[in-house]
Amino acid sequence: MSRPKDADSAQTYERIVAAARSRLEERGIDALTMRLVARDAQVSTGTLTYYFEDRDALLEACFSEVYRALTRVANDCLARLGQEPAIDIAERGTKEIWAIARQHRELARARLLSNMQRGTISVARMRRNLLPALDYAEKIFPHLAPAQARLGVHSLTLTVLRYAVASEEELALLGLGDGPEGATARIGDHLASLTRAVFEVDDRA
Amino acid sequence: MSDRRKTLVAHARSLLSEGGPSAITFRALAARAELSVATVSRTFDGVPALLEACLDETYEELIESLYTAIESVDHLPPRDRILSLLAHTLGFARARPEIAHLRYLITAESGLPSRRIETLGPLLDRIASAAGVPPKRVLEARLVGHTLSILIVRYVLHPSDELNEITGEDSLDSVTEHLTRVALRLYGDIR
Repeated sequence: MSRPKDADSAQTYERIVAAARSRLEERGIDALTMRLVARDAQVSTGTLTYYFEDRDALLEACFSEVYRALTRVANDCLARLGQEPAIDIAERGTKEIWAIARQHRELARARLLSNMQRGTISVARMRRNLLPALDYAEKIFPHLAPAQARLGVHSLTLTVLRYAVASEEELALLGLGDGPEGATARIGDHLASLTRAVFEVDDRA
Repeated sequence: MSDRRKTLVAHARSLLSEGGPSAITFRALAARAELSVATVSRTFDGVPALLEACLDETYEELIESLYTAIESVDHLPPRDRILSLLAHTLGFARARPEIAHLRYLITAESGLPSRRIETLGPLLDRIASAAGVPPKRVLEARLVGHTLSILIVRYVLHPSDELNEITGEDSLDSVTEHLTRVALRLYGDIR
């Protein structure tokens, strides 16, 4: 495909992704159409499709910044290994990831929706984003059976993603009606307990 | 629920189990039920209302079966009650993956509906009580119950090849073991 007149590489790319993210976070996944993003980014639809083949490709670009933030958290956690107990690092990491997910809840919703509509997680995406974290978990928590360490990370991921899209009404049911910030903090504490539950060998019941 | 509504919901659930949510159209349902499309559309406002009716019916079955299960384990110690209720819920969800898929899809689209939220609170509280959680920790117990239900429903949705990549082994047992560990630990933390 030849390069459209208003395509000037990195700048245009960034402008489009910024427009898409802002549309997604302010108005939700239904408002993310190629036509409206092109309008917001002040590019032609031809330019938009030059950079992004379809809405899914645009969505992946929106997710990439969040993935970068999540990778930073994971790398910080790995860098602290050996300096403090692994479980404390994991607990703090979960809370940081929860804060990122809640801050980008419309992106989380889009991710969840796209997984559910497809009925499966894309294998390529799973290998890129999920499986390396599961491999690390096996090494970091050697006292657990490998499958249990891997499932620990996966359960945390699933739970964070699901609570990120919780409505105000759902939070109120859970007794978390003390404003969005209070609810976010309470769920963060719960996720910290969940982190210990998945990685420690002690059922207490 | 009227007989016609019940019949249509039963046919819709069978379509769902065969082809997932995208298999549900009024035309397909009318053909399956040997009725006209007009009759189907007089019974349900649209496909979303029909899908909600499928979820409502399954949810009522779940609630009824769980309350029965709770009564039947009343004589056991809390730990065994937790294990039994977890196994019951897992079995229920694993027998209905298409409903689990629908539940997650609609939650992602529009959140949990109010009428389900109204019945979920008392159910989670009853489970917490069966798990031996004291009333003063009821809010923490609601989060625990809700998290477990989220995980149970979500794990049911993983195709086996996906699950094998995740666990590194070919076994549903590791998921059951994982959920059991998590349930015992989380409820144990607040007892």
